[in-house]
Amino acid sequence: MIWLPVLGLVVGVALGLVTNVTIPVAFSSYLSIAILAALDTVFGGIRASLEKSFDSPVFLTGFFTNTLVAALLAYIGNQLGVDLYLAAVVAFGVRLFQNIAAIRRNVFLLLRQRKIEREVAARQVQP
Amino acid sequence: MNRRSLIWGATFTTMALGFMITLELTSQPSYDSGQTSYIDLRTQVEEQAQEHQLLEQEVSKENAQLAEYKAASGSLSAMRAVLLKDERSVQQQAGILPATGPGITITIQPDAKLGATAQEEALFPQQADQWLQEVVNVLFGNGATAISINDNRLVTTSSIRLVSVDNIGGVHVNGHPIDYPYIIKAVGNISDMQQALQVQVLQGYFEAMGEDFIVKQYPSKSGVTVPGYTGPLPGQYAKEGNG
Repeated sequence: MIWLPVLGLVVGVALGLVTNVTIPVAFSSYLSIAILAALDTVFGGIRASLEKSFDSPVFLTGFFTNTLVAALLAYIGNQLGVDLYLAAVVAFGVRLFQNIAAIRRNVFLLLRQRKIEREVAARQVQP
Repeated sequence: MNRRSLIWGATFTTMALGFMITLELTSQPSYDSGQTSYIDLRTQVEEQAQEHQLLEQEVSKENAQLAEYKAASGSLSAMRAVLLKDERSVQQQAGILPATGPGITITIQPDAKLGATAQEEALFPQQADQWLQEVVNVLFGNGATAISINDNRLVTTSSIRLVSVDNIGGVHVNGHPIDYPYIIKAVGNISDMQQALQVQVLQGYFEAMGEDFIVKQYPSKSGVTVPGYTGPLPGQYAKEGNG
């Protein structure tokens, strides 16, 4: 089952290549910020799953809402002449790094825990 | 159930993410100039805005001229007066008409009292054209609006050449030979021109070659008069075509 997300990524990339959709250069920055928001949500989801607090509806709604709101925010900023685009980049960038750091910590904890469990199990097997 | 929903959620999101990233990568045109950063673009926009402002000024100037033509279109004499005014303005810009105003004169001539050796004195006659060009460039670059050398007006097609074989000959300006003393007349901003000459230490160079470099200021409204250009103009041999 773990290969399903990887397959999803491959299918997504293939869809992107096959559909031959092109985004106008003017809207390119909105897509960039949407990707950043999506990455932030994905890493947030991974963190939540490691911390055993993952909630699928929250994750999925968060993914689409964050993506759309980020693009909308960049668009509104552009219309107002304010660089809200940069504000979104900084906010998502900071969150992204925080999530990656938490994931790293959780993975280390998990690995250590498993190692200890294996050692305990090995001692119990020995007479 | 939680793990299953995580897997499916992750599958959908990675699919959407992959689609978006592919879209972004395939849609973005590649720039070879390397001028793709946000700041570069901002600078370019500012430059374009400045250019736009200049062009708008030009357009308003042209519109004013058009309005002048339209106002004079009823009367032949009025139209003639407007066209004559324009002709005069163009002639002034081209340097065909004399220019009068505050300015400076520079007199360059050999001076034995400066104490240069024979070798040093021999330098200037070999490089006179280059030194005169240097002085003219400094003046034009620092507030001069009209310049003449020995009453030969310098325009865009002017030449300053050294025509000399075995030290026989001299400097030609606009094709006319000139002789000592070389008198450069310049109309324009006196202080700017004077400061530029001082910064370039031109007087020191000329004196080192045994040449006087005497700068005189004429701040009055009719201080210096630079004659108009009288030589051939570009395009004078061109004729109107039939088709």
